[in-house]
Amino acid sequence: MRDEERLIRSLDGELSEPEASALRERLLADRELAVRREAWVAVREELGAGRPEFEPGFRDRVMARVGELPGEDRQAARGDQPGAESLYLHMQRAFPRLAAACLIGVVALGIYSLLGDAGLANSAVEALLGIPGETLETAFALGSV
Amino acid sequence: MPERVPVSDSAPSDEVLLADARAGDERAFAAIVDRYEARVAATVVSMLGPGDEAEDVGQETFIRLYRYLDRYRGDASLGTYLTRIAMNLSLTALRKRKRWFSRFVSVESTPGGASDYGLEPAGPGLEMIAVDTNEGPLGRLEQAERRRRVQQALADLSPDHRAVVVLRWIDGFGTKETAAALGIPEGTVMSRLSRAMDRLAVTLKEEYGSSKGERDAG
Repeated sequence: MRDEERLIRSLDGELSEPEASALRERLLADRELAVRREAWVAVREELGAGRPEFEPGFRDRVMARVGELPGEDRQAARGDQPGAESLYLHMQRAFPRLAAACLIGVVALGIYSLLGDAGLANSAVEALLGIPGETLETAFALGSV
Repeated sequence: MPERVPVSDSAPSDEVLLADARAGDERAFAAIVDRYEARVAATVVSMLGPGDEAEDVGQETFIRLYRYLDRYRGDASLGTYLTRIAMNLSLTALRKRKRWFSRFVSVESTPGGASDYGLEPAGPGLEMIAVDTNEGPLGRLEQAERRRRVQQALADLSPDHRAVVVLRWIDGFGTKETAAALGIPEGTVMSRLSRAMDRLAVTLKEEYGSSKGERDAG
């Protein structure tokens, strides 16, 4: 353990007895470290002296701001999930159902195309996707008729 | 040292207050603000210095809590949760301040330009309202003066080092908690803390020296 870590843990009162004893020996042997520790103890004490506060009436100012919040924010606090966030959550919930419905639709269309009249004449992929059997050439010929 | 929020046996627990606040009871939320105001103040004022900006960030901390009441799951204590919000908002405010500062003010032209508090007005603007732990006006003055000196010394640290000092020794977080709150390794917390402590020791010594000099001259 480095000296700094040992000093910090000693300020926190986290050193075990053997560790504390080792630190005492180090401090006796190293005057610079002892001075450093003394300074850190003083700093720590100063940091704890007098905690800052807000100006009086802070609670009322916060509550006034709460009162000014739009209705949807106030509903969100209650877990009602309004507004954009709610829309997003609704969409998130609706998407898997929509995806499943689309998949069923595609499969149904594929089966219908495959079993239909055109399906027998076309390749399986064309039939599955419902693509007509005409090539560009036949389409051009039909167009010129 | 960890600040324990005193809650008497008859006072409703945080969980009860949160449940009531979620149900739309604004008095319950006001009670939460009362309970944690001092803790949030310790974080934001230590990070930003006293003034309007600290007040705004303090208010915003509670507004964030209110807006996202339903998202608080109780994984950390409410005090820890609020301290983390307050610290994140303070660091964001410091980044904005730095951007503004570098855009409009040259560092060389400002004494103590490295300090983020270079923008704060000197003199009365730095007066602190300290918790009255000593009786009488003299005790309060002394306390305020001590706090002012600490504030000045903290202002001399970089935001990264200040955040570690504030979380570790003003908010009472452990090393692990501090590392998690700031998203840095524990070793970095230790090294920043030791560097900050050395720096604070020098600055506070100078502050005490100058205060003593002023008193002697007076």
